[in-house]
Amino acid sequence: MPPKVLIVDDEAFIRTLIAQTLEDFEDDGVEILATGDGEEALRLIRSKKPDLVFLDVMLPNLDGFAVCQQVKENQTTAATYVVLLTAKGQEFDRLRGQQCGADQYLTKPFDPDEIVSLAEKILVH
Amino acid sequence: MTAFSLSRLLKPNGDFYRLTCGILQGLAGAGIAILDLDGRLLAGSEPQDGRQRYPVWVEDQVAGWVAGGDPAAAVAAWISYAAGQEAQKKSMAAELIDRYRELNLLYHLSEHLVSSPDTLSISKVALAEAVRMIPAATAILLSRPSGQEALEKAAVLGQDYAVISSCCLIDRVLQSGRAELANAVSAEDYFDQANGRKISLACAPLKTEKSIQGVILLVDSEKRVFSAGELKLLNAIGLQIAPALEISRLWQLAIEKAKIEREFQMARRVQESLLPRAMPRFPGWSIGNRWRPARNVSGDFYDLIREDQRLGLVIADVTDKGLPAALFMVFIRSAIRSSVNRGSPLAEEISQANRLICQDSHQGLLATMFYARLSPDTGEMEYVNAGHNPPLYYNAQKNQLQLLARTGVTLGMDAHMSYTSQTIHLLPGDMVLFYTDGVTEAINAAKEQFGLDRLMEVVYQLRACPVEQLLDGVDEALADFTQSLPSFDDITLLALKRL
Repeated sequence: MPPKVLIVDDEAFIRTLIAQTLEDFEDDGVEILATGDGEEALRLIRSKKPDLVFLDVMLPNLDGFAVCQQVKENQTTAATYVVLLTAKGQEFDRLRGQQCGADQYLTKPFDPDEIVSLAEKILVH
Repeated sequence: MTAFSLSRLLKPNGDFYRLTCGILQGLAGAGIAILDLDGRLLAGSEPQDGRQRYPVWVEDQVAGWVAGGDPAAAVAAWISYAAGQEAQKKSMAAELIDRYRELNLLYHLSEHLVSSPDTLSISKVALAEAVRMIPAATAILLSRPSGQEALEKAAVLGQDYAVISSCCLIDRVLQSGRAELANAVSAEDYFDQANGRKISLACAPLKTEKSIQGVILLVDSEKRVFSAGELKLLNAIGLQIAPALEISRLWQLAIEKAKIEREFQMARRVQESLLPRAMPRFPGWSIGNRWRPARNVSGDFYDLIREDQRLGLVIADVTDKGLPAALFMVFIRSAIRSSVNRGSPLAEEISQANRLICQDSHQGLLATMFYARLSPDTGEMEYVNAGHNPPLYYNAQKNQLQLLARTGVTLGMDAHMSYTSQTIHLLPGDMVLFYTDGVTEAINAAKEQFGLDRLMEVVYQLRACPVEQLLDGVDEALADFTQSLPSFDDITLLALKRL
């Protein structure tokens, strides 16, 4: 099974940004998936089993906290590495993120190089 | 821009790959093969020898080939079009990443700048962030210290070069306010002890709305070619840190000013402690005063010196204002106090004080002074007027005001000067008002001086009043005249009245 990364953000440019940043990983066989909807994200996580998920907090239908909580509560998906994307000035979201079991947080605007480092850490090692 | 990868566009299981395969199936008889630059098959059937090859063009570069029968040319044109669209999308996405990276940098920088307490910390943070985003062997921040034109090295990250701050690149950036690049140039034009090397530089101004305070300079070997995009980023860093540096500099100035203010307040308290704490009481006499420095400290002073059965009344005015005048005032006071009440005639004692002042004063400061030696029992008042504004003497018997004219020149002017004294006899109802030029030279909004005539008029009107009422009357007249404009000079009044 090739490693997979799921990008979940309702803003298309953030999805493009992360996907393009991870383009070199695609050449190495990493599959990049993307969606802008919380419920769709949950469905993709259950069906595609991505290794790494970049998950925005504010999403239509199901927010990032709820998605993360359901992923971490389900034994078949609990090992998924979830990176919550929180907005600048919403640092209190971190506490909620911790409570729902997120593995890491990135504050927008994040450094694209951080995305690469994270992907290397999770997908390569 | 990175080279376009046709294999990435035609990655198996990708949407475009599936679409292309569908089309090629429809052209199965033509034996179409889509190949990358190295001839590897990306889609279609294995290429057959001798078949025509058509290039896939992406932004004027060959990105791959389409081989096969007649339809291959049309397929190559179609893939070229699709690849061009994809390349454009990638290019925009790359631009988006650059902008996002820049945004991240500026946020990051803002956060650090907010918590940086001084210009050195801000400079260091700026350089660290600059080389994090724009890799360079050395980063240097040159800034203009407060009030100076010449640049100084504020911080360095990496190798510390002896920058020629007047070099043409820095000079142009300072003049134009625009960032500039200089790739693979002779180091000798930019640094001392360059030893014939070549280097690459990127230089951006530290620009605020009002001025350009310096530059941020990145330096690397000639192999490193700084790009226009990197220069834009460096410019953004410069724009971000310049206001922070300016605020920090103003903050430092405010702190220093507050410190100086506190020191002045302390100096004022010291000076006040040298003035008489209370007016002496002699039966049949009344004495009052006012002392208002134009600034925190004053060059005016008054003194009351007990000389056995007599009283010395002193009023003096140093020919300057502020701290130098206040310090000189302390010196004058000591010189006078150490010279008088020695059993010699008053004129001789003041001449001695003048000699002391001339010996030790090397700063060109002078002081006018009026010294009155009063014998309260007899009403005799001997005085020396060393260049001071003539006090007003109200002679009740004659019902007229007289001026107690100068009997010598200003103290500190000439060590060989001999002073003379005059004597008057104060009778009941007589009064003397001593004052400094801050009173007569007080100006109103029309730049007119209060003048001696107005002072005499007020004093004459209040000639029968107690001294406190007289002093209040002069104060009120001054306030009415100046419309409470701040005084530019120190104001001192001393009133003596025989009851």
